[in-house]
Amino acid sequence: MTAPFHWIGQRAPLRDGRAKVLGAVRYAPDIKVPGMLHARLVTSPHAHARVRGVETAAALAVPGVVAVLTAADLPDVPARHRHTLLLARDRVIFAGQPVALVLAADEAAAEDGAERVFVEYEPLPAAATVDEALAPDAPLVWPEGLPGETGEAAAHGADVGGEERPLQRSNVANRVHFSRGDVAQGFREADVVVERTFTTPMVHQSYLEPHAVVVQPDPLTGGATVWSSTQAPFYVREQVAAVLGVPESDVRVVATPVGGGFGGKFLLYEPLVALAARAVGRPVRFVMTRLEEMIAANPAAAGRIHLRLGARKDGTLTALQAELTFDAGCFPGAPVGIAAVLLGSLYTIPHVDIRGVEVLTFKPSTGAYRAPGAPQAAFAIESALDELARRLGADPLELRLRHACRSGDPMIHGKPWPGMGMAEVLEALSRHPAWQRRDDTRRAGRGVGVAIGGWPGGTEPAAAACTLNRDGTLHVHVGSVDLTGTTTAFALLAAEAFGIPPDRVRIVTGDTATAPYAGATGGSKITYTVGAAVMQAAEEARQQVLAIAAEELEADPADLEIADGAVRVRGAPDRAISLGSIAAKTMAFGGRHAPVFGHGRHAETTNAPGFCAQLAEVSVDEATGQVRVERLVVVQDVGRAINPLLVEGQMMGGSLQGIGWALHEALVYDEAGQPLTASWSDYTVPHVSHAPARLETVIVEVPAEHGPLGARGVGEPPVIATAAAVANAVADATGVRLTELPMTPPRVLAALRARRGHADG
Amino acid sequence: MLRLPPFDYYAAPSVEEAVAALRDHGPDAMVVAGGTDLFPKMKRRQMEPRLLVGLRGIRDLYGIRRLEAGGYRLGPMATLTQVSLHPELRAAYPGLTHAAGVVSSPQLRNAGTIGGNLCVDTRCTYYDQSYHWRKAINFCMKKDGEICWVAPGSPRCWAVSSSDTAPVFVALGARVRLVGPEGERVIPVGELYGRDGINFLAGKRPDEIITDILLPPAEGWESVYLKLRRRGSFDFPILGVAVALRRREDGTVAEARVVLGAVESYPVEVEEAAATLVGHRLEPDVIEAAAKACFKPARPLDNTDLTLYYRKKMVPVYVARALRRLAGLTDEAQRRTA
Repeated sequence: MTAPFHWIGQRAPLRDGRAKVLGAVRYAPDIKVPGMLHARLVTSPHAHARVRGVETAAALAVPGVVAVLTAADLPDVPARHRHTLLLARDRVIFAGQPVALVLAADEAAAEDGAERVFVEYEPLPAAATVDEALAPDAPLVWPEGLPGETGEAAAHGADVGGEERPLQRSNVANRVHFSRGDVAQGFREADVVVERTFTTPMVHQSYLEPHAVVVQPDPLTGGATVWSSTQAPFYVREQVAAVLGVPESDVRVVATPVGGGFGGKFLLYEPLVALAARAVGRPVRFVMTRLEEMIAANPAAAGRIHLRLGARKDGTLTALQAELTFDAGCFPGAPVGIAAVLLGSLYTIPHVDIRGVEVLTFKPSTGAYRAPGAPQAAFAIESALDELARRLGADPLELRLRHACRSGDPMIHGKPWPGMGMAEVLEALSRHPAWQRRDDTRRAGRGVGVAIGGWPGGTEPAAAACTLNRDGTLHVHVGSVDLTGTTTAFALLAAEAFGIPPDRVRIVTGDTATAPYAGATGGSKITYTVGAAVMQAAEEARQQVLAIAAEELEADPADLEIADGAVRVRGAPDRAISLGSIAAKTMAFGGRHAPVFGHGRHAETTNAPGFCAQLAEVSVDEATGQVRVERLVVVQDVGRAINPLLVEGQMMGGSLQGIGWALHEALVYDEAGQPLTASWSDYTVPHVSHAPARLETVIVEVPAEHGPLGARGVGEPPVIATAAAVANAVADATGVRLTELPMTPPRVLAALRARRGHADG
Repeated sequence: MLRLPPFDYYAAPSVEEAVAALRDHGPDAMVVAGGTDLFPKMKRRQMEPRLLVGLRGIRDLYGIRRLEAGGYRLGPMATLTQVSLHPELRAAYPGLTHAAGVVSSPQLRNAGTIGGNLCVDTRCTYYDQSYHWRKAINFCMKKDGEICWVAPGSPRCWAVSSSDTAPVFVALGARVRLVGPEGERVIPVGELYGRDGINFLAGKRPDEIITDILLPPAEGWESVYLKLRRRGSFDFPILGVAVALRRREDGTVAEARVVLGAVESYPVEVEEAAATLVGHRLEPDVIEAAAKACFKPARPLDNTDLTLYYRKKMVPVYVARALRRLAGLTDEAQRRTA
């Protein structure tokens, strides 16, 4: 199949957009099952405490309360993962950890019951920061030894190697080390060295729809049906079956439409709710409150990156040294490995040494958030590179282009970069009017900053099936969760491959009992992997249809074409048979043609990295420290834009979340580990008013060798570079380098005052 | 979901009956107008009235009308949206209508009332939290606890006055009519407020209801309100600056009031700043001097968004910008200051 295409590249609106706007989409919280109970958590108010006892009598006396479960009512599942922490057994390790679960006939009774569960705690000292957790006498999050590693990071392609297991019991969960050349030599060769420490806070994915799950137990098998707002239905099935102790085939997971996930909705409370449903023998619904989301979910890890970057006077980079310290919360799994790899692999630098450490603290465990590890890494390296360019008097885009890794260049772990378009993206940005006319912008009192971020991309085996209906439409069966418009893209891919308009294609998303396998929606891999399987399936269905038509029309299949809903002999349009008739002949008593059933299966293992460069124009109110992003240009290599409309939507949405990283968002804890940002009043997600007045997207297409029609992952890259671009623009506007996210007005003002030589209060 | 505690609701048909209910039930009863402040706080158990006296059905408490003697009477049940969009008020008291229009979000302004905004509860990081959260720190003196977490040695509560409109009403010299069991009285708005974060409405007895907000004639007066907050919507003020002044024909200031919100448990009128202005034209050095005079009287603590140092530093910046706006000296950065 070659360009020009019929349907690929069209601006196709989101297929379920109308239903979403009309409120007709049924999300997990809308699921109702007869006899269903409602669950509410009783959570720990202490970051670290011994649980002395749980008094449930008063809760059980609340009308409507059916049961109050504690750890004693659940099997003693080892807490290898956060999602098998279940209910606290004897100790709590973060404020917000579930200690009991109240089940009641309605939500109100469950809430009233939860208020009347009295837990006796013996508070213990907690280490709430990485520095406290690394102190020699720090209380240990896991004194008996570390739990197993998490699956989420690996699901995002974070299995990067370079690991060194810790040798002694401490709050260190993981160390990574990557090196190349002789970094000491590299700094000896350097004329200019930038040395900075960059910090990024824990941030929350802040999806609108909270975590929500309904579990209906199956008394015959001991298994269950699970409706969940999850990005990873097959992973949920695996883990729920494991805690229930049943074969995976006895658990059926229905992934409901996800009202925002961003990496935060792989798996969290499904195992607990499944066990609860089994314990009482009734369906159980659990929908998290926003408070529970803020204290008891799995936000993104905080990072501190100390970095030295050296170059010769002529702008040649000679050395990069970095130490990354990530705050994982109470379970291992922070993306320090992937951050280290990205930090060390963007530019060709002869001497590199990067060490990373993942530290456990008495806070909620952290999970994936759109390009986990990458915004932290990009903020550090892209800020430092910008400062280096300034000190050298070099053009920051040229300096990047000169050292940008190209396809085949070694990454820091030694493997080569697969085909990718980092340089092409930088070149496209350098041609953009916003960059060309940056001096005009500066004369108008604004700063201009650029930065780039890359995401390695993910892979996972996937399958799809394609059937032809009697009305001449195609059904394409997939098992992937649509977060970004992938279903709409599949319709275009299937239409193009088969030869009918997209409105004649329906994408049927099955559950784990009916759907072909697809990996979790994460790592920017669904279009790349499932999309390829969809095309294969449609193409195979097309061949089957042509074979049937050839027989019916007594023609050579090579002379046939599919057009206007029919198969015709080329040049003889009256010799035709409609697609509906073909399907009917495969679905008739005594029929002689087998049903059309195309299948696609795919196990691509070459990643398709996606790069996104951004240019930010900011105005800085120097009297108040308030930063406003006036314009954002988002340039991204998407391989091929299957559907530019939704590709641009991802680029805009991702970069707006990047503005949240840059200027607004931080989960804050006090010294005792108590969350101070437990609501959306205190945790300040950006508003529509924070969107730049000009938000522009530029699509670059460097085809991915193995992607469907060259497509590569789109979702993750656009969040990565925004914070660095904004920081670089602030530096351009003011001469002040911000190294701590978010760049709040007090921080900006303090930096401005320090620049003026004032002591800051 | 956060649950409201059980309570009785009395839909009072008249001011007299509402007042009688308050008198009869004492501290167990509270008045509810729009409920935008009260209901979330009840859900978080910051307030636990047994009886709510609803004012919604009392016709006399609504409406905005021009008084024959000049000035306006605002019914306390007028919504913030109604106040903010009222064409005559916008012309006469732009500082007030702007302040009403920047409270929270459009939805809450449609429900929240102008009387409610005058009585809006003081706020604090350690207080505006769920019951669960407050229990985890063993509560604070404003509700259920003993000490003030933001100033542990302090005998008083430092929760922050968080009304956007109160500073403007004070600056405009507005008064309120209070009706209680012993009759009615009219007091300046500023006298509604006590000097600590718990008894912040000390000037109003618990069984009194605000029935009228009375604005003096606007002739010759100019007003402005600027609000500092993290985002352009939704957030409570972490600094409010209200200025009202009257200029003579030669441009010199005849009368002025400068009032700060969200820097104490009550709106802080800075008379020294006003004195700096009177007799002078609004020229840059005069503005600077008035702004500077506001620095010391502002006493923010570390109990709301952004840092206290920052908020204190912003006081003169915002006062200067408010005055520059009145003086027509506004530049780009200031235009953006809402």
